[in-house]
Amino acid sequence: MPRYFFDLSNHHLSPDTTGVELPSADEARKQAIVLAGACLKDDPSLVDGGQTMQVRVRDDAGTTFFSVATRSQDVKG
Amino acid sequence: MVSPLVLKLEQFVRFSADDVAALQDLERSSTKVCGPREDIIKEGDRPTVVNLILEGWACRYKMLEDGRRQITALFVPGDLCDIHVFILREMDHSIGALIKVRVAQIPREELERLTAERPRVTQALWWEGLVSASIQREWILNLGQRNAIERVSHLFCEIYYRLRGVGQAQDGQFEMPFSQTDLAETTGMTPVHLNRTVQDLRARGLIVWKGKRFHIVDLPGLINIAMFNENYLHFRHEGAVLDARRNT
Repeated sequence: MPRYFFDLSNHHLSPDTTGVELPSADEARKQAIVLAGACLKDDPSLVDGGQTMQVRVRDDAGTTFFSVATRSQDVKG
Repeated sequence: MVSPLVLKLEQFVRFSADDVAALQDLERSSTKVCGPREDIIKEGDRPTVVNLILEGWACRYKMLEDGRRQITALFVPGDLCDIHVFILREMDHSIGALIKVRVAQIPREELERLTAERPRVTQALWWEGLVSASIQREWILNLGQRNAIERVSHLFCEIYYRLRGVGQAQDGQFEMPFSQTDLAETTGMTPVHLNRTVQDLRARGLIVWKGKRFHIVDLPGLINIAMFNENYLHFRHEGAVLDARRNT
């Protein structure tokens, strides 16, 4: 199975150094969304004050092919 | 070598030499070896023996029809997989090997004879049962309330304390043959989230995990993150009142 890497970033980048084997790129996309949700559930302050939290997926060749970004924003009237 | 079962139970009660000999006899019951991911007993099977882990790691698990699996308990050397299991007509869960395990299969009659003859052993087994239930409560707390890093840290602390109790860990170091998939199925996390959480613990300098060697570099730090309180394991020799050697 191919290996995919899930890099996390908000104010700093936390690269994935080991990666996880998954059956397909589509599964990796899905897992990136689930990971973003899990990280936000554990720590909502990741997107405090208009910050963006991103999960980016890299393949074995080092190409980033998918990203999930979440941002919070106050909306005025 | 002192048997892991004796080491484990002596955390609750100190035995006489006769008690120890009788417990060690249990390990001479017929043994069975199972490979990784092989079931020792399956849901639906009729239990006829009590499995005692001699070597390796096993788990109790339940699985949904579509294959999603939750590991609900871990068994390490010295652990009995349910002392009263033979009361069941059929297993309501499965017990499977996580890595190669060797188990002693203790017949019902053997246990009944032992407990009838040896009250101290019986008391120690009551302790063992209470602690198993206590671990289950802690795991519910873990799954229901602790977040990812707290949950994984807690599991690592528990594994270390339990292994240390049976002489299989010291100075924060032990063999961790667990795959990350198994860990994910234990903590109810996706393998990707689990993997990132383990990397986070590494990056914070709390653990080193290379191959099967696991080292808790900063135990107080890990305990702090996990909000780990060892009280639920009752390893402080609380059954001292029952000691065989108390007055000698």
